Amino acid sequence: MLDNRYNGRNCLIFGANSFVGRGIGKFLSQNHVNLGLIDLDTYEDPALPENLKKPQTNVIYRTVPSGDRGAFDQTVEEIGGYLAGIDYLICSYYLEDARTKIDPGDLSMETWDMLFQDWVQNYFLLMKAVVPLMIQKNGGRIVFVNTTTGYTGEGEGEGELTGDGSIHENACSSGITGMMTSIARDIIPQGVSVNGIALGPSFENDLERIIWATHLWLSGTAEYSCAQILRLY
Amino acid sequence: MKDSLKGKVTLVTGAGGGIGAKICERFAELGSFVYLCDIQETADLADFINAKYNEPRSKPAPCDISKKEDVKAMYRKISDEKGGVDILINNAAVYGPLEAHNFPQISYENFLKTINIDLCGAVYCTLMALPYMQKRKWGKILFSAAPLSSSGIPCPYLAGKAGFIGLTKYISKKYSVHGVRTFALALRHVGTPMIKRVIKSRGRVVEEGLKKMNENSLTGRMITPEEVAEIYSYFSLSTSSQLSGITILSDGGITYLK
Repeated sequence: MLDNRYNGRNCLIFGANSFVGRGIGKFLSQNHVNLGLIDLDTYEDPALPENLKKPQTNVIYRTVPSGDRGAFDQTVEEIGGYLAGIDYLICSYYLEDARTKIDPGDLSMETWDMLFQDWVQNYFLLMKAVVPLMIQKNGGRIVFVNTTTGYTGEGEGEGELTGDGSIHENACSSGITGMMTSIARDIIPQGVSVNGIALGPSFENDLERIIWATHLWLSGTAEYSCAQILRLY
Repeated sequence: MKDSLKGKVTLVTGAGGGIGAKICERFAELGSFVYLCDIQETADLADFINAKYNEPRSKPAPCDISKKEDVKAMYRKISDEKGGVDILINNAAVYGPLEAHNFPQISYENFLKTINIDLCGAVYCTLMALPYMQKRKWGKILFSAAPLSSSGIPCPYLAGKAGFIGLTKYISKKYSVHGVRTFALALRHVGTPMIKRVIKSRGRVVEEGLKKMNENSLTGRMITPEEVAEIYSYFSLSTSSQLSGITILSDGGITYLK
């Protein structure tokens, strides 16, 4: 158990039923963080809130249809009201599921549309709903989960690719890096930091490092970092 | 050099823009047949190019690349006429939104409007191009990217550009074995009408903005569309056959030296 720095904080986790979402949720709940959990309809797990709930924590769980702006706005407003604000946001896409669904050689546009909406569009919608609440509270911390498949590095393309995934995953992942970099620059002056974790091919064996990286960003240990992507592989 | 790309079919997206037109001219000059893909009319450009040669070297390929059915139809037509695309230049982009471009002010509609062209459109074109390139064991896919270190770039635009840097590496890694090479050019400022619109949208005097941009570059000026076209052509020729998966930064030395 860490010290009390997390006590009474509120965290919203998108992709709560993903491997990473569940892992981070469990860690935060053990450290007395109240949780707002959001999943896409297709990933709903009614048992999730009970599994993550610990004494002294509040947990609220909702599902939303992918790409539905109204549903995202309404759900974030409801959760923000229930928890009395949102301090942290974890954007944790269901990567393990996407990798089982998409063949590495898949070149279909329909697969792209599905992944782009579920991942890139939903991240944008979520940020759009959550960031104003954080700005109102004079700050917040956002961690997004990405993959090394689309890692573009800090400059103009440093960093090796793992070679796993698909064109679809790569374009979404590297696109998100650009999107988050731009957003981070826009909102850091208002006290909201945005950082990310790039997961490698065997991330399901690496939960401890994922949690520690998340802890760096959320706890303020890496207080002065913004728009950084910590690569785990 | 003159007919180095003879027999090759090139598709240039955003062909009607300041950079696109120069790329089309250059590739036709090298002997390639060039499809001018744009949502805007490009018949005049095709006439201008074709007038220079004894045989037609270009043709408009009207298409809204943000719509996948349009992209599929365009490729079907090209496939019927020429077999397929050997060189794809993903040049189309809108810099946007110009108004309310900061997050979280940027609207969902404007986000989609930009990213559907800048990222999705290029992905659609790339997905359609790859099977033919794989079959022929020869293909070039070029992307017009941007330096991620640039500040003040709206998030949907930078998402598209960053996507290209990743895609360049990824496709190269996966498809080099099939003869497909990729390359991205990360452009900071290019002397086109678009840069003037961006300056104006930020409430600045265009001439002053251009002067400042030129001064910021260690070379004292921006890259020209002709130079961009020349770089792309280099990466399509056999002289660069050992280069693939790379992103070249063209920013007048700002990122690394200033």
